[in-house]
Amino acid sequence: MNIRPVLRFLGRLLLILAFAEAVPVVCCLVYGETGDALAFGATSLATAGMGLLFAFLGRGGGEIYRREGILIVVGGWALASLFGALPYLGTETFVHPVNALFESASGFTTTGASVMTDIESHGRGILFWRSFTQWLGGMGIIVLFVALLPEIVPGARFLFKMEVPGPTAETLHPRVRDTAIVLWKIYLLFTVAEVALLMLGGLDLYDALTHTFSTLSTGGFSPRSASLAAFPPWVQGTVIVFMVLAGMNFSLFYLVWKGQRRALFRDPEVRLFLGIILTVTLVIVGDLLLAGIYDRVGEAGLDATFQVASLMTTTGFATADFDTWPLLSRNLLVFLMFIGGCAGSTAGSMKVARILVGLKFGLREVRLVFSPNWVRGIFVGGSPVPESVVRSVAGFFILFVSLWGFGAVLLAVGGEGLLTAATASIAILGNVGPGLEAVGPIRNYAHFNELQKLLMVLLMWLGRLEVYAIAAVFSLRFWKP
Amino acid sequence: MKRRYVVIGAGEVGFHLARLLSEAGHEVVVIEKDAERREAIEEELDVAVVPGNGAHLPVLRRAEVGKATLVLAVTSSDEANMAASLLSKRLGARRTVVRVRVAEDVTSYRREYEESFDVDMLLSTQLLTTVRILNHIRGHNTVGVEYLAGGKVQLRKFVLPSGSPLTRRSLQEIEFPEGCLVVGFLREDEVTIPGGDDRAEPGDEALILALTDVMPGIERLVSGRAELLGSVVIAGGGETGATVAKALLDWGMEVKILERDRERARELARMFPDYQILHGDATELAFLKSERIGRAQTFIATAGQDERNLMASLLAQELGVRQVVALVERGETVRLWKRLGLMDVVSPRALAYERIEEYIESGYSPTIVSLEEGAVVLERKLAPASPAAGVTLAEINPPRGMIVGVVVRGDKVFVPRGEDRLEVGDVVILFVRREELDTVRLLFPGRDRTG
Repeated sequence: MNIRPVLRFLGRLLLILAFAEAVPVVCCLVYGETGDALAFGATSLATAGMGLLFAFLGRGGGEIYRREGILIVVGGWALASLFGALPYLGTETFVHPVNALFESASGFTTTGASVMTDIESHGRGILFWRSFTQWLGGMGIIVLFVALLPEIVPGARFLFKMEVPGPTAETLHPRVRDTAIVLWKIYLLFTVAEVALLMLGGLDLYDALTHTFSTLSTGGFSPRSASLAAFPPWVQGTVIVFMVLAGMNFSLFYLVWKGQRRALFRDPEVRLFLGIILTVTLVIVGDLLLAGIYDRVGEAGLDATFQVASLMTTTGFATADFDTWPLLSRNLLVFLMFIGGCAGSTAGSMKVARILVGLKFGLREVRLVFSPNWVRGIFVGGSPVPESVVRSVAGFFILFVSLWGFGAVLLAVGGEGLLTAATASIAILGNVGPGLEAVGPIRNYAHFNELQKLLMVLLMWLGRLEVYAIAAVFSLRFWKP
Repeated sequence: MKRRYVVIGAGEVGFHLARLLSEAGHEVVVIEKDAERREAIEEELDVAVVPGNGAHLPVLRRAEVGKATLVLAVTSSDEANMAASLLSKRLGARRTVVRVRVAEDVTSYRREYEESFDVDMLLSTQLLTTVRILNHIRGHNTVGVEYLAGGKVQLRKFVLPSGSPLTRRSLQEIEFPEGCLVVGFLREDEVTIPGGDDRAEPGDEALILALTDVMPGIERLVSGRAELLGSVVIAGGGETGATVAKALLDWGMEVKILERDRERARELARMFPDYQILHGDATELAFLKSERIGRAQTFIATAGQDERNLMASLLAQELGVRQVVALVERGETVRLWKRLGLMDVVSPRALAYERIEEYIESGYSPTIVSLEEGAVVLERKLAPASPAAGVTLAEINPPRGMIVGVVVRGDKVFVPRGEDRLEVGDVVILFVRREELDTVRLLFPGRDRTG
């Protein structure tokens, strides 16, 4: 293990983070929160200091191989969550460090689960930071880092692949840095567009920015207790559109931009993604109307679409308390949490592409039971999926479901109900945010004990980095020379 | 400036070039058939990888060769490389480099290949290897060779050591063999055309134009070394071994070739009636001892397998051979060989990528001397319209910056004198300083291919 290059990378990452922590200072000053501005300034300096120390300790040579790459990505996320927690302590938003870490990790991993009991009692600066961490984590801090890196770093491609969600990460440019820059450009473009549309719907710049941050990263933090229920249908509609966009593969937007207009809707994953959203929405609308919860089709349609889009893309915004909906609707929504968005999107959970490959793999095994000599590859959209990818998907399925079960058991320990624990586990592991019952859309995660919160931080990381990298660091063999 | 390069074939040469170019900050796309190689590249290099055969149009399209500054076709298949070059050009690639194996393709038919397949630089690993091996054997200092007139004429660049007669006496005091001309000295990357009373400084490079058969004599003359009449043992009579053997024909040395395969040994015996061909295993001590290999001046290991070459070289060293030259396929192991005392190690692939690097660094000049350095070699066929046709050299009275070096008339090749008359259909090889290019265009109208 070459520890020096790892430290050097992490040091630079902390410097970028320090810069990010200085951004909310502006917000604090605008709203007259001078004390909080000082807190942000101080944490930014502390982070920068630590970054310089890391860079100093890591000076000199050393090459990056797989292990170093894994350690950089995992360490990067851990450090971002740790140092991103400092502002919560500095502004006295939380007294207990575990709460601060939970909120910070939930931000960066774009989970959107909160331990804040009364959101609107907190300063505007810290609430801005909460949403801002989601925006940074959405496209990925490593991808941002690669984009900002002036020099060519061997191993950068591997880092990039470790962070971009999905079974295969395509690169749009020969050089990975150019790919990272393109992805961030698209992300910025969407950000500007959504802010403009939300302001058109009557939101002020603060609300427009914070909600845009949480939408495009599929995060789900809102500076309002009522989440998006507080806003008119135009705003909700805009957010639905951008949540769905953020749940699609960003490489496809690049292809569309480059002139391949049909690339988006010809993609089998996007088709299935949109198909699931549409089907489930229709079933839920029917269910809601039959159960008599809504009188008007329009209202039921809007609320159903919003909740479905929000949970499918693992955003976790809510415009209705879906915990009070009928059983079929609730079941379907939990089912969506397991699927998640498309590969290469900012969404979490298992990803549509994996479901697609995994199902085909399962069906092939069925056929192999009665015709064992049958040889056939697995195809998605007409192109063959390499067996190594199929294997990795199968392994991911097993680990993801095991982690979910494991999480559910441990979260139930403190006396929580089975449904709470089970949905909390997938909501955390899938980076969704809200679950059902005690962790429902109008509730929060404050009632879990400290150990359980730490466990959930770990699950959030596992979910965001798609299990393998984090799990590798916990393997003893990883550390042996 | 950021450029885009497409490398076809990620063997040792391709892999190394891809790494070099991507680390220099360029966009690199690698085309590779083998899935395992592709995985290795994706892991180690920051380049895009396109799966497939580089001689197929859709694969080249996917790699967007049309946007490429340079396409490097360096797979192990000559045919695929040529096809890739031609197709890439059709798709809009600016330049192509093609690697071929056989030396003769470059020495004799370079021009034809370059024209037919639209190649900007054709290079042969075998040729580069042979030149380097010969340098090692004779202590000569050839740093570049350009083959002209179908291989009948060569332009060579030599580094002049302090012992070289060219640094001690002026040109008119040295007795040069018939059929050769010192056309330029290179000092600090600037070409000067020397007159009779000029002499070079040690460390300068000399550009010498000569007929191919007098070149060995020139090499001896330039290096200033006394002729060492020793014997050479070539262990392994494969293609490289045979090419080296062929190049040694003119040198009057005693040559032994050791070959493991009986059939191949018989074939070699037919090819080289003057050499001693021995059928046996060069890694067997008893065989080497019984053939008195230890007395040889030079031992060249070209068995085609690194392990065998290593074993044979160590044994030869042990038996007391003065100089051991070994061929190494895997370039990354060169350092280990040197640690074992084998100093003259030649890695064909390393030579190939060094040559390509040079080509890129020189701003894409395939020739050994370029206009940036002040002069260029041109090959022209005399058209009836040319003012120089039917005129003697004295009448043309070429300016000092333009040397009419060699005339090729049918099978006859000669260095023209003042009274020689140029005829329509002659191929003339000209060495021209940049300020005289217009004169050349006037006297010998034609296409500037080499320039």
